[in-house]
Amino acid sequence: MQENVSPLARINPAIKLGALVYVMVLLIAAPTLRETIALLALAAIGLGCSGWSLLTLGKRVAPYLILFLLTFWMMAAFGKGSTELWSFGWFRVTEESISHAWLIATRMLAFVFLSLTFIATTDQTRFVMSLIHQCRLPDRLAYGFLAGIRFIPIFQQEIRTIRQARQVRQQQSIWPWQTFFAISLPLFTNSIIRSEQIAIAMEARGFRAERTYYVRPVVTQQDRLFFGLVCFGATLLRIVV
Amino acid sequence: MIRCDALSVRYPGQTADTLTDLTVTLHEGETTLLVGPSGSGKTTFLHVLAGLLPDAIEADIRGRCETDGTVGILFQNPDDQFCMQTVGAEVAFSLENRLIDRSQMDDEIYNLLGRVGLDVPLTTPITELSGGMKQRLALACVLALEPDILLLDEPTAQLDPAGQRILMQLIEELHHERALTLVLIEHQLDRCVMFSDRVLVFDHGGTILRDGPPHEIFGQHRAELERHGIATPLLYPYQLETLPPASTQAARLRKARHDRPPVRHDTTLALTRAALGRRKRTIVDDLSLTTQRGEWIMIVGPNGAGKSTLLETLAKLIPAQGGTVRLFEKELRKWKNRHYYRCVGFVFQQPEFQFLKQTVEDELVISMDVPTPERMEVALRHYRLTHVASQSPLSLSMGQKRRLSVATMLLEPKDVLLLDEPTFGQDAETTAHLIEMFEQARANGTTLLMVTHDMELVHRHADRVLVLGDGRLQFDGTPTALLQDETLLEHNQLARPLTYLYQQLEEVKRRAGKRLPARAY
Repeated sequence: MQENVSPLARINPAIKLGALVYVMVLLIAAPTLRETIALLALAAIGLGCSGWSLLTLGKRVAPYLILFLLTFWMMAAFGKGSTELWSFGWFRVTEESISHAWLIATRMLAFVFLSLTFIATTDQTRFVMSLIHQCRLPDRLAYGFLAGIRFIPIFQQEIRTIRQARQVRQQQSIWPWQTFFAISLPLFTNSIIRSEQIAIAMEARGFRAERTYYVRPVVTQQDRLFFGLVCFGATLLRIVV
Repeated sequence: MIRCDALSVRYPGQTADTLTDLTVTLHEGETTLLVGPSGSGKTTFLHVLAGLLPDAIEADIRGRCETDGTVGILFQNPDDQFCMQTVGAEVAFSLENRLIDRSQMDDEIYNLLGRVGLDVPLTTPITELSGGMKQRLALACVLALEPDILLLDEPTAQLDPAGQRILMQLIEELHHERALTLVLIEHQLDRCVMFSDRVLVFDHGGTILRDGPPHEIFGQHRAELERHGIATPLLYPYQLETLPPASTQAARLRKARHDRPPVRHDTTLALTRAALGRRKRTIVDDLSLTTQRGEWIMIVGPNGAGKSTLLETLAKLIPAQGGTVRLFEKELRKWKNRHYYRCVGFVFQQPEFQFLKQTVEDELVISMDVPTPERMEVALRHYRLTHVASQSPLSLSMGQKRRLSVATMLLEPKDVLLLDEPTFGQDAETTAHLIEMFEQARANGTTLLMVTHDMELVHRHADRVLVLGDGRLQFDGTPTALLQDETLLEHNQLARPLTYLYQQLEEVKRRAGKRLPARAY
């Protein structure tokens, strides 16, 4: 997760999440392609405001466009329907399957856009803190979660080392799951040891539920306005289009 | 004030007490140094004082232990004591727990960071800090608790020499705070003993063997401590200049470089104008180098200078970006992995990730070409792993893990052995054992390339030393030549080892009164 310089980054994370989830619910409930595309456009506007330059945006979205095409093809070529347009071998494209494929693929892309918007504009610490203050997430869970995020880069380094060690010691596995276990088992064992140590360290620093907060996100007028605008806009699109 | 009365601690699943019937009182403002062999319960004692047993760490406690005031503890591993992402939030975590008002936090944080000399923006991610900076941040976080009692558990053990120096300086300054009670475990005895008021000597089984002021413990009882396998300061109570030649300290420092046959001229690895790096970033450029059979080469230099990258390139784990790298006249990329790793071994910095099997025995079996019960037994004995043969490699102690990781590489003879800081964080006994194993491999004609921060090892054991820094090879020659080059040492934050300094001093003394031959510079 990262926080880009963008107006969206200033919105309270919990409120932002609420608004985006509302749009997602509308997406799930959108029965036709027209409405889905309208909501996709809304999501695209959000992504446009995420503060990424066009080039970065392109790089981040490109893999999902491939996924979009694949989803489309899978849904189109193997769908059911009576009006056959084209068929070859196992593939059978019908009018119904095409329209169905459009709908699913567009919906997926809209979901991706919304999630990317959130990820690009939200700082993880602020997000968790706003979950504490706005959604009453218990402190113990929230701080544990924050401590866990620190492991991700450490994990990446550890996986690299294990792979290298397997190469140096010439251990090849016949089946892919053997590799999976060989890598995940030491990683898992170590993370248990490490999480114990972090818990001890937190305890030693006097961690308790009664506390003050360094980062305390509040809900401002601006947040309410954002929430209202997004919900109103999305509902309007859903009804009018 | 800390008062322990008949304190005993036993961890679940253990048959013996880790601390046995401990009765001791530590006074306010006193600085106490804990020494003792590894596994004698020093760390457990600190954990008890920090109030971590039995709530955070499960254990069975008998007797009493009372502490007056707030307790702060600094751990050994800089990575395992943070729970936030940025420097500011991490210090604030301590302040939050103390219920400090938000409006006062920023001032406090700047104040604390200033105290430990960490001048970075509050939004700096912790992952971007070096080990030494992380440990100073951890110290700031502990100081943020405003402790009356500060416990330090080998805070410098996992830092490079430059980081160690700065942290020790800070700890020494803390000692001058009158009201602060300091209790520390630290292997840099010469430094700590200068400002300690009291030394507690732990013995196997978690009892206190001796208790007294440093001059008494390391003066009168030095021989007894050494008999128990407890490390003692190299110089104390003397200074380098005042060390009497007849003392045991002097004898230890006088131990000369290992004498051994000159290296054979039989090239193993050869690099020509190689560029090394990861992904698109070049870290070391224009590196040319040839290594010989039976040559022990040590690689030193500041963090991030490309020492590990060099080893990984030679281990065929990452490709060179330019130039050529050859083993036995054949380019690395033309070697088949299967053949290459018969010739070249690699001991990783973190041993736990080198293990691939569930038991120590299985680890050794897959490291042998033809495993037989007899060979197995010899190997277990040689690497002192017999009593843990059926245990999981991950459950071993630091020293055992390291020995096993070296064993997996040396059971079959190798032409080249690459070592990434193998003695890092190890105690004196394991280090000595490791050195012995490497000397043996060297005698068998293996080329050893070892990354290290320990200049003492460089001085005593290296045939040749490489200094990497500023993106290039800065020095390639004998340790003696390196130790004479003041500017080079200073530029790369390298310090001369004590043995070298002492031997230089003796040399001067020997020549004193004699006419110096004229020397041309």
